[in-house]
Amino acid sequence: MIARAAALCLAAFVAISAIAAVRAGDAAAPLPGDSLYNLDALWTNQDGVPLKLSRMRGKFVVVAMGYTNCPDLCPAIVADMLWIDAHLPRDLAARVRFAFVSIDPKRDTPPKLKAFAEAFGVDQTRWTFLTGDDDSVRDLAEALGFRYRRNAQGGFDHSAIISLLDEDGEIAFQQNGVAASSQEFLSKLETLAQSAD
Amino acid sequence: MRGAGWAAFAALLVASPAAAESRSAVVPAGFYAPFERVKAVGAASPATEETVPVPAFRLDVTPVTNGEFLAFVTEHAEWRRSTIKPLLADAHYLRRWTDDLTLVDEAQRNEPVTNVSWFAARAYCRAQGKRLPTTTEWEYALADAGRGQDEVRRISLEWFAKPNAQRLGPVGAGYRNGYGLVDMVGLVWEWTLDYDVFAMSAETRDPNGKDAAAFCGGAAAGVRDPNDYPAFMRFSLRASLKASDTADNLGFRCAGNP
Amino acid sequence: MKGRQIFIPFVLAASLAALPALAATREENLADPIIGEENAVLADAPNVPPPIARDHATKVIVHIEVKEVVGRLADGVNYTFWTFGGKVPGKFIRIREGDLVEMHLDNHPDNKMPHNIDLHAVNGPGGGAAGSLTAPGHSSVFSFKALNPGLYVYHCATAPVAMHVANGMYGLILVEPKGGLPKVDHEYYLMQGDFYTQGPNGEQGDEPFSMAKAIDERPEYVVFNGAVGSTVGDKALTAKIGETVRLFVGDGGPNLTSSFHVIGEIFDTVYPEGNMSTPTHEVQTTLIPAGGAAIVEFKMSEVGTFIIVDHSLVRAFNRGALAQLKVTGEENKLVYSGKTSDLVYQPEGAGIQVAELPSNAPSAKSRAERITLGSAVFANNCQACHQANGEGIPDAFPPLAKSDFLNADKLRVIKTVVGGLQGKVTVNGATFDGVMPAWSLSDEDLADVITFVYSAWGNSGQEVTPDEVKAIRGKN
Repeated sequence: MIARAAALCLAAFVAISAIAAVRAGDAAAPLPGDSLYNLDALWTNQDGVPLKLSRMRGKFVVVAMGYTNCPDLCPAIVADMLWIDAHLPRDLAARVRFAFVSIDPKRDTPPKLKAFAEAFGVDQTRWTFLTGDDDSVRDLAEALGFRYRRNAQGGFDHSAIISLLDEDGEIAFQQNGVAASSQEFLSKLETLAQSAD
Repeated sequence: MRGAGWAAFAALLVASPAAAESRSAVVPAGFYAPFERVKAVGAASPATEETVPVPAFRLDVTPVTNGEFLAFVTEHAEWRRSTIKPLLADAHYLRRWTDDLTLVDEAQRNEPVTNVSWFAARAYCRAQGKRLPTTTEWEYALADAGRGQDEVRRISLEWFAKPNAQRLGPVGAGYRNGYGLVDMVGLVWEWTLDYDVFAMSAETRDPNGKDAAAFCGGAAAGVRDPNDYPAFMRFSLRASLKASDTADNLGFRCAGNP
Repeated sequence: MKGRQIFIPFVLAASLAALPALAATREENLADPIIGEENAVLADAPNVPPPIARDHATKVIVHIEVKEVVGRLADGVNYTFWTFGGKVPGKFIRIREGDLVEMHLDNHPDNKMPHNIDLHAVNGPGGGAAGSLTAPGHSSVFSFKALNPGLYVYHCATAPVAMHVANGMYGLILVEPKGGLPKVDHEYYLMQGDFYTQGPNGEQGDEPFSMAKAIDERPEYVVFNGAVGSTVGDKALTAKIGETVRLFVGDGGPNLTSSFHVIGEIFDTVYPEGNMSTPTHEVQTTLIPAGGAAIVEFKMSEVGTFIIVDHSLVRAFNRGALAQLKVTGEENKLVYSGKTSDLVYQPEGAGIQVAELPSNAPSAKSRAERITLGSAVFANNCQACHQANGEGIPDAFPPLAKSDFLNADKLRVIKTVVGGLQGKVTVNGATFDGVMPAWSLSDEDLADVITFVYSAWGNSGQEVTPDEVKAIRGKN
C-alpha cells in the first residue's frame, strides 16, 4: 500500500519535474549568445536572498532599473510596470516576472527595497527588487542600454527604459521613456507568449 | 654573504614596483572643468564655472597592446574571438587578428588592440587588478593641467583628416604629455567606464535624450567651449557607442589606484 | 449678369482646383495609405533619379553608406571628404509626398567618425538625427512619413556639425507633390559648399580641414558638387536649343549662402527655397540659404556655353563656384547677336586682384619642369576663364590655343599677366573687350605658367624665366 503510494508519488514527482523542466526551457539547454543571463552576477533580493537573474529563465521578465530615493521618474516606471501587471490576461500572469534592479546599492539595502515593494503593493511572489555590487549593476545597465550617473543633487540622472526579456533572457522589446500608456509593451508581451507556445 | 643577500633583496624591492609602475603613471589630484555642462533639473541654465574635483589615480601610459590582450585571452578562453558571447561583443570582435590566438605578425604585438567591446576592455582591466578610467578621469588626464592643448588639438584635427590606416603604428611613439601619458590622441579612440553619459540630459523623460546632446542645438548649448571641435568629436563618438560595439580604431587603457 | 455671377465663382473654383496637388495637406499625407514597398533609386550629382511614376504612396527603402574618402578638391589639391554615398554632394533621393521612408544609415567600418543624418524633409526631433547616430562599422534604421512636398537638404548633424558639413556631408531629397512636376527635357543636380583648408587656395598636396578658418567663415574654396571644375568642360551639363532645363540646386554650406545665377539665362520659373506652392517667374538671380535649396527652370533660347555661378563673384572666379551648361544646336541670331560683355568681372577693390602667394613652391630647373609646374598653376588660376583646352570662351575670354597674340610678342604676354589688360584685343581674328586681372603670383609661378601655355595647343614653345618676369615687373 505505502510502497504503491510512494511509487505513485515518485512518478508524479518525476512527471511534474519533467513538465517543469520543459516549461523552464530546460536549464540544460545552452543559453543563446544574446541572453542577459550570460551575465553571471549574484544579486540579493528584498528578502535578503541571494540569486542570479538566470533563476527567472523560463519566464517572461519585465525588467527596469532605478533607485528608491528617486523623486518622480522611478515611481513612474514602477507605475508603468504595475499597469502592465494589472492588464495581463490571467493565464499569462503566472508566466511573467517583474524585476527592479537598484542603481544605488549603497543606499538600497534589502530592507529599503522591501519597504519600497510594500509601498507599491506589488505581488512579491512575482516581483523581485534586487541589489548588487557596482560592477554588476553597470554590466547589466550596459547590456540593457540603460544610462545613469550621479547628479549634483545626490541622486541619479538616468534613462527610463522598461525591457521585456523572453524565456531565454534575450531582449524582446524595450519601452523608452515614460509613456502615456504601456499598451504597446503589453501587446508585445502577449504576442511573445503566443509565439512561444 | 649576508650583505649580498640583502642587496639582492633590496634590488628586488626596487625592481618589481618599478617594472609595474612604468606601465602606468600617477595623475595627481586636481580640478576638472567638464566639457559637457549639465543643467540640473529645474535649473534655467547650466552652472557656469563648474569644476569637479578629481582624486589622484593611475592611468596606463599607452593604450593596451595586442600582445597584452593576447596574453589575456590565452588565459581567459571565454574572451576569445570564437567563443565570446554576442551579448558581450559584436561580430567584428578582434577582427584585426588572424584567429583566436594568432596575430597578423610580430609587429602587431606592439600596436594598440582594437575591435574590443566595453565588456572585453573591462574584463581585461579587471584581470590586471585595474579598471577602466571614468570619462572625467580620462578627459582630466588629457587636459594635462592646461599644458600642450594646442598640440592636442592639432594632432586631433590631423588625425580626423586622415582616413583609417590599415595598420596602426606601435604604441608609445606619439605625443607625450606632462603626466607622462602617450598617445592619448592621434592613435585610437578609447573606451571609458561611463562613456555614454555625455549623451544624457538631466531631462530624462525625453525618450530620444540619447542623441539630444550629441548633435546640433543640444551640443552647442551645453558645452564649455563650442570651438573645441576635437572634444565634440570625442564625446560624439562615445555617444554613438553601445557596450557590445567594437570598431577598427577603438581601443582602451586601464586606470587604477595611485 | 447671371452669366458673370456664375463665371467668377467658376473661375475662382477652377483656379483653386488648378492649384496643383501641391496643396495636399499634412493631415492628408499622414493619412495616405502605404501600398507596397520599393528600393529607392538614388543618383550621384549632377544626375537625378527619374520622376516618380506611381500615383500612390509607398514604402521607400533607402540605404546610404557613409564613407570617409580622400579625393580631389582642386587640381593637385587632395582633401579627406566625409560623404553620403562616396561623393560630395550625397546621393539625390527622390520620393513622393505621403511616402513612408525607411532610412538605413550605414557607417562603413573603415571610417573614423560617428555620423548621423538630419533630413529637412522630416517632421521629428533632429530631422532623424535623433535616432541615427551611428558608430563606425554599424548601421541605424529609422523611418518617417513625407508630409510636405519640396526640395530639402539633408546633412550630417553630429557634433561638431559645422565640421561634418564642411567636409561634404550634405545632399538633397526631393519630395514630389502628388501630381509630380511639369515635364522638362533635362533635370540636373547641383550643390554648393564652402571648404576650409589649412593652406591657401591652390596650395598643392593633402590639405587638412582648418577649424580656425571655418569658425571665421573664411573659406579657401567655394565649389559646386565637391570640387573645383567638377562640372566644366567635358563634365559640363548639356542641353539642346529649345529644350527646357530644370536645376535642383542646394547649398550645403556650412556657412555661405548662394546668389545663384546662370550667366546668359533668365529663370523662367523659380521655386524659391525649394517650396512647391509659390513659384516666381522671370528671375535673374535667386538666393539659396545655407541649408536650403531652390528649383530653377528655363528654356534654352540660344546655343553656347552658359556659366553657372554663385554671383558673389570672387567665389565663382577665384574659389571655384563655377559650373557650365553647354547648349548645342542651330544658333538663333535674333535672340542673341553674338556680342556680350556679361563675363567681365571686377574683383573688389582696385582692378588688381591679388592671389595668395604659394609657400615654398619648388623652383623649376629645366623647361620640362617649368611646364609641369606651370600646368598646375594654370589649372588653379587661368583655367576657369581660358578653359582646360586653352580655347577660352567665344566673346568672353580669348583663346590661348594657337594664339597669334601670344606667339607674336613674348614680352607683351608677360606684361599682360603681370599688369593686367583692359580694352579691346584681337586674337585669332576675333575681338574681345574684357578685363584680365593682374596676377601677383611669384616670378617663378608666372614663368612656369607662361612657359606651359607656350608649350601647349600648338603655340610657339618659348620659355619664360623668372628673371624675365622680374624685369617686366620692375618696369610696371
